[in-house]
Amino acid sequence: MASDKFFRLILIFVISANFLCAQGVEEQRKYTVSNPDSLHAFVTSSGTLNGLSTHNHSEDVYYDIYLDTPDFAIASNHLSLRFRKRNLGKLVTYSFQLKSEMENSSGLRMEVEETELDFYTVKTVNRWSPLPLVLDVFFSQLERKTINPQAPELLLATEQLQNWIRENVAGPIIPFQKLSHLNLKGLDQQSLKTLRPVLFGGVKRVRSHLYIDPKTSTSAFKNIAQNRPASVLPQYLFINPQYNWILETSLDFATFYPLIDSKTAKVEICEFEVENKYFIPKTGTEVMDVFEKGLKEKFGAANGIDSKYLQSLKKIRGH
Amino acid sequence: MLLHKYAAFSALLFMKINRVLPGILFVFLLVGFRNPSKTDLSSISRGTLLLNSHPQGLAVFTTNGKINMEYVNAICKFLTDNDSVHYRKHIIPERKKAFARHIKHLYVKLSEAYYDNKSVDDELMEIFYELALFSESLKQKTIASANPNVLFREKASMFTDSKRSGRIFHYKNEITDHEAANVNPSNPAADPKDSPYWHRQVEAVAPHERFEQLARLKKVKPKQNMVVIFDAPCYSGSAPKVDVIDLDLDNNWSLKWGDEVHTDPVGSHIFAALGYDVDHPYYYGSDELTLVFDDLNEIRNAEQLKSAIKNIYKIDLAPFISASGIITAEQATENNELQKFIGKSFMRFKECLLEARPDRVKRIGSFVPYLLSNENRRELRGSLLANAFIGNWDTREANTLLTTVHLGNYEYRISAVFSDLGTSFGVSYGVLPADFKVGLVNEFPWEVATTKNGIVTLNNPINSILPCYEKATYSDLLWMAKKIALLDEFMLHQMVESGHWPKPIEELYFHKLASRRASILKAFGLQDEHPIAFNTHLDINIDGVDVIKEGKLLVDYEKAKHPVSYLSTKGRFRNYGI
Repeated sequence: MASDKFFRLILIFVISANFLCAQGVEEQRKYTVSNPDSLHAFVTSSGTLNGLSTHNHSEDVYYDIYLDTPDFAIASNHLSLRFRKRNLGKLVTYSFQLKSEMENSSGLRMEVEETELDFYTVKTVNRWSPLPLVLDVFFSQLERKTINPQAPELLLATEQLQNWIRENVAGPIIPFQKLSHLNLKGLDQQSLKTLRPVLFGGVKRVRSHLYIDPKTSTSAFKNIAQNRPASVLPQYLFINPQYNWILETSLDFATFYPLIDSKTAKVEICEFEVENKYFIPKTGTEVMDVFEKGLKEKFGAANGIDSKYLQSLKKIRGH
Repeated sequence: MLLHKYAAFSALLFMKINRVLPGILFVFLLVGFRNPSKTDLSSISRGTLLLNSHPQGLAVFTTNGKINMEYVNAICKFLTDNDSVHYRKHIIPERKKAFARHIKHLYVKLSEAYYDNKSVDDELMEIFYELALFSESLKQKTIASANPNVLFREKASMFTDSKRSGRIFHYKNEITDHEAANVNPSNPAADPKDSPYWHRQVEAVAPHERFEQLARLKKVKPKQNMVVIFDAPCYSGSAPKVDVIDLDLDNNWSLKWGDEVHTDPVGSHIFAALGYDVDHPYYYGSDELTLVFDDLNEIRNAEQLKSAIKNIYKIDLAPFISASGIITAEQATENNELQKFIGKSFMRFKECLLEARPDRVKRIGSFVPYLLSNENRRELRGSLLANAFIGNWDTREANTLLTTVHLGNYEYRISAVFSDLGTSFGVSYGVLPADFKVGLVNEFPWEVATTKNGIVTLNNPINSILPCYEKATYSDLLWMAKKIALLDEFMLHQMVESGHWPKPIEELYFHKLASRRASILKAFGLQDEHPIAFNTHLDINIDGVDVIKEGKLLVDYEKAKHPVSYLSTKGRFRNYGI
């Protein structure tokens, strides 16, 4: 236990160091909600809360495959490692992501991803096939809602995916590079070669911008300078330059299925995430505090810190 | 090309003689049939990097004839991993996403071959060459970025090489024991195969159009009247410059002032015509470019920019400015692009240079002319004569570039670029006081190559005798002389015009380049298929004033429009004598 705390501290230190380098770190807060329907109604209704207006701009569907070593060293190190398929209407993307767990309710999360997987290949029977084809064997079960972890094609895809991992652990793939830099217990290169799919599932994500509308907001918020985000402004904020974009929210409804032995057939999760998008992080944090107060008062929200992976794993492993 | 000229002339005649409308239709049809470049953009292929014998430095990529995947992993990590921040204790520049993507594409090819237990063949060797070049280039950039100032020993080396280059470039018509390593040894003056360092001409694109063809390929879109937004001051180089962004916010540009505004475009056009990849600098005359300032930037108006330039380069920008102030609604009516900048500060200039930094091109470091046997490439050795032709002085490694060019659909091509070709067309340099000035037409000799007793001598000082120049042979220069011979009068005129010198000076440069071309052809015994008439005693008198007499510029023509004198040798380190 003591060593666990020690490694936690090391991880916090490493993540903080990464934060100083301003690479792949974002401030997120996570909430569990007792009444998801009323929160859903709020985020989709362009309502206001404590001086912030909401604009629902998209509803996306994600599919994830989470990886871990046989001794769950990824989870033990407070990380999650997943392949993600984003279904954004006409656009479908695949990525490979490494995220750290939140250490407290207003903590920072390290997140890095390999954003393009199309050109990576997996050796199938006698030829090299794009990696997404193998991932789609998992995802298609989720899309068709015919979950069968023991299906032969899924077992074959698992083997092919493990081959890809073994062959590319030392390659120029960002999550593997990051893990190599973090140099964590149980996650050396040999251990990473034992990574395997642990669970898979789908997430319906309702996404909204939270912004200050000078006409309806509080006097304190009206004086906040216009955001100058490093990335391009979302379209809605671009065509409404009078609004000041501060936060981004997502309401997630997720279902996960185990790919390892478990008495639990599936895990259902509903969580609300708020992300700081303001160019002066401290100011964004202060706005987050005000919004959080309203969330707790109006929707009975409670702070959470476990990722979906950790929440699911605890239930699947019966912890 | 000649056919197009005659056709256009006929069309104009037709318009005069007959009604205007059929003439317009005729021109339209002709134009419709032209436009060769658009159809040939894809004709610039990567080519091959393979030399007749592979450089020793590539041996690490193989073990017993198979791929050494451990080394491949290590080099790909160096080229892609932004968390690996140090090389020899220096900060490695950020690896851009597009560049990293290209490296990953190469990695996947090697990984597949490795797990297929494939023996190393030419296809895999090409990837080894490319990865090694990128790696060495990134290392060079890392070290160069850590040492931005030119050290005393480097200045001394520039001086000694300038002097030495006046003595060593003598060539006898013979086969040496160190001929180029990427040509057929039985035909020593032959073209090398197309490579990232050089491409042979294609019939559909005339040499003088090659510059624009390359620009289109890189999605470089200069406009006649350009509006750019100030981004950041620059801290590199010795000529004053700043980073700007064009209005589509897609492409960056470098905005420069000083003595290279004419020479850089012409030098780059000529190098492109000879088959090399180049930067894309464009001359902008009086009030043709508007620089606008964003309120969010630290530098928000003309005064602040002048102050920054003075601090960084010790140069007073004031003589280059034609107008500055706040953009008015009236100005925005005249130029619609200014609409969203009403109320913001702006500047306009008497003349300036805008050099493209297109998003499609990722710049790594130098093209490492001294490593991986690059000194044995014919195209690099032959570039010694191309440099001599335009009188380029600053041939340092720092003025070469290795790039990736995005071809669309996330496909990339490695390309080596001859950059900063503006230190040419008549250079004066000195140690006490330390200074240099370019574009001095009277310092640009009429002849560049001479022959005596069968020995060809090049007369062009260069400040860095790179190994490829040291090793150049008669065959290499003969090869380049043949490329220069392909430039005819029309092409030369077109390329000289890209410099936008005042007309009398432009005319003098044209005659001098024609003369230098003739001297090269004569020295190498080449028959001139396109002889270009020139007059070494050129006289130009304008309104009773002898502007040019006996082939020499006598007056600083249109000094008010062109702040940097064409006669004074005071250069950038003496504020151009302004």
